[in-house]
Amino acid sequence: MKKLVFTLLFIGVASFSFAQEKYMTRNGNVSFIAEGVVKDGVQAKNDQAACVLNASSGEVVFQILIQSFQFEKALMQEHFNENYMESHKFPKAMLKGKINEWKSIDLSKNGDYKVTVTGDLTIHGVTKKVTENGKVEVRDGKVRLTSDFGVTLADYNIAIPKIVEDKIAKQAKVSLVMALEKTK
Amino acid sequence: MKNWKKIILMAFVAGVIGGSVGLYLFFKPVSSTAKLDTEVRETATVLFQQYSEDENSANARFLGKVVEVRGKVIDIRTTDAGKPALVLETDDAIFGVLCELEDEKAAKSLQTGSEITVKGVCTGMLLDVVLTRCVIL
Repeated sequence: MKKLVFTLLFIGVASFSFAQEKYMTRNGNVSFIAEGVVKDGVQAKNDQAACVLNASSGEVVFQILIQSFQFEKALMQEHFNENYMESHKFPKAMLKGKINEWKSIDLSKNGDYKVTVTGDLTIHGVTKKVTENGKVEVRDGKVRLTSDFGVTLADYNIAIPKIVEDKIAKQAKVSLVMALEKTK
Repeated sequence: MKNWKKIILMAFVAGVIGGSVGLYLFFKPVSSTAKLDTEVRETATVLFQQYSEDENSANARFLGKVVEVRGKVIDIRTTDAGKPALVLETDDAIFGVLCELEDEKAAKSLQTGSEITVKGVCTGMLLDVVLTRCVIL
């Protein structure tokens, strides 16, 4: 059953689109900085993000495993997983949406495009409708998606204890870089 | 009077020790996986199969654990951030066990087709089952 869900989610961004062209990565990079007033190095990187883009429709799915975020400090990583993100309970985060300007993008020649993505962002078990800015770069048949956006922790029921509220920002700055290749 | 001095001295020593332990724990970097004890051993095929069949029960067994996985290397790649990674073969035609390597030089001596054992921390399943901070045993 789980296998079927994964297949539908990633390989078939749209269930009818098996014959359509898709671009994919399983090694995308997502990083965040959530430093508060007191600078304490609250930042982490995740190099195992998965992303599938349906080149016919502009539909796109990003998915990450929360425990794949790597911190420099062991205690920070432990608190992130156990206290804030509860990663045993909510092991994944996902953005499923559509690139609004997809029709104006030509994948047959090199170019850069400023775009917006509208979709559902699920973090910590909470799903919110979002629209975020991003960029699509087309280079020699490959597609690179980048975006920088903010995530307000309270919107996703991520509670920050009073004792560390000066050290952790209310809004995390998230960056993603996805180098996509056409699926064979 | 002597008792007061002793109490102050003991409180000072306890403060110094407590502070030192606190600072050590706060600044302690994430340990290399090579130094961590293995919690679960499994083949790449069985690990992937268990996640495919029942993700929740596989997470209960593997998520966040130090796992030793044996399998055949079918792909050696670089992540979008430039880190080395390899994929171990499973029964699935497309996806496998994706292992991000801790040591950037470790992938240089590897060849596809070789049977290896990797130790890493299991972080769950997306397209592949994912292990981070891997070392090759």
